[in-house]
Amino acid sequence: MDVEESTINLVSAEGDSSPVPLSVAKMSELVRSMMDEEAEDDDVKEIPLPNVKSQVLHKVIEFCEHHLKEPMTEIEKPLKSNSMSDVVQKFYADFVDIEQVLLFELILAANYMDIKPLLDLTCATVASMIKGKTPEDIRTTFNITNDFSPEEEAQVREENKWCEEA
Amino acid sequence: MLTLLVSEAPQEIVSSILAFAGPHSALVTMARVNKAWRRAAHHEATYRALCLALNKHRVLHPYDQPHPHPHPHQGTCWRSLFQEHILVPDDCSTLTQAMRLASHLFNREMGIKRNRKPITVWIRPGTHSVNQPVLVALPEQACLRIKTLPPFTNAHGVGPHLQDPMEVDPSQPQAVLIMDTRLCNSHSFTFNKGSITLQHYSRVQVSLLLKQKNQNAAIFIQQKIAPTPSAPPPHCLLDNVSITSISGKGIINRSQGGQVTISDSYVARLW
Repeated sequence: MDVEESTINLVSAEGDSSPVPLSVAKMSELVRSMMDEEAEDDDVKEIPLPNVKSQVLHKVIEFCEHHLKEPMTEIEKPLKSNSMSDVVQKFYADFVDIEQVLLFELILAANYMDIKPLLDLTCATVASMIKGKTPEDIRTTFNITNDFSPEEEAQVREENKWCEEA
Repeated sequence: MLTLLVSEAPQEIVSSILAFAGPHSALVTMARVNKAWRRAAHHEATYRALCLALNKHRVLHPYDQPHPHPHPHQGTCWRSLFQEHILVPDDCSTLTQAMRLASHLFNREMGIKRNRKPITVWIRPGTHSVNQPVLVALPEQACLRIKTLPPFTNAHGVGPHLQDPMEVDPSQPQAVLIMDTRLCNSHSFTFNKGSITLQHYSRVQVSLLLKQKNQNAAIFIQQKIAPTPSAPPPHCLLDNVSITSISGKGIINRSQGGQVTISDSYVARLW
């Protein structure tokens, strides 16, 4: 007979409470350490995460739940492909096929909650958007303004000439 | 998002992204995007993340247990460690590109009048095709070493990490470079200044002899026609290296003052 796993509530910046199994919550080193600190208090039922919005927290929980069932393949550094589907399983590749704003917030949440596989996945996703692109392509993709003066740009180009010639 | 990352996210995140994007080429590209990314690309934390990702700190002490809090070397910095040890194909996909990078780094050091430390190009064991002649354009006084990456196995406590560039197939512990060309004057290696050491790797140059005297050589050392009076002649040290060739012009060809030292090596012409 299966014993139902106890749960804990993760509370987002907006105050929304999400009940998650302990094993899922403990994928976060932040949550794990907070629970360890308050181990004497058996009634720890809520962990406040004031830096994580509800929408982002739901994504984080979705990742952790799936990771327990199907652990993500460790991602090689440097990436061997620009396509995340060549690097990780389909679920994880689809998981990070999201808008840039959400991806950015997921990176910050993974870093804050100290979830290494999620941080690796999100950082690798940004890297896959950079890899093999020219500076002009990257500025276009990420809507970045070129703030170099023509002289500075010429200097930077000269410094990195070896790479262009190769 | 990249603007937000560089302005709001911790430096470790930026470093991690660059480590995933690929070492030298990603740094070069990102340094050209805007000023903030240029600063981030040249940050010591970025070099640290890249060195750790590529295990560069371990080339200094290849047979030691990995240290949980590695430090590059007493008196050096992560940037130096990163730049003075170039991994092929992890840092640069080809030997030609690694040579360009080494030349660039030597020339830059010379430009700011800093002492030129040796640069080591580590080639991962296995067979590598050299698709074009490698011209090593070193400044005078420069010292370049080309070595096989030391084999790391689980016996040294590394662990079965797939991404570990140090982990190699123990059945092929050497790097083998193969050049196959029909062109004239396509020496595998040509250099006319500085000092180069080839250490512990097998080298095979195969030159299809469509022309009887195609002037090819595995290694061609030729001093500049008008060298700087005080400059030492170009010198090549072959240490524990195997070189074979079917070239029509010999295997190691030196002229006009180039010097070669051969130690514990096998040099043969195949017929």
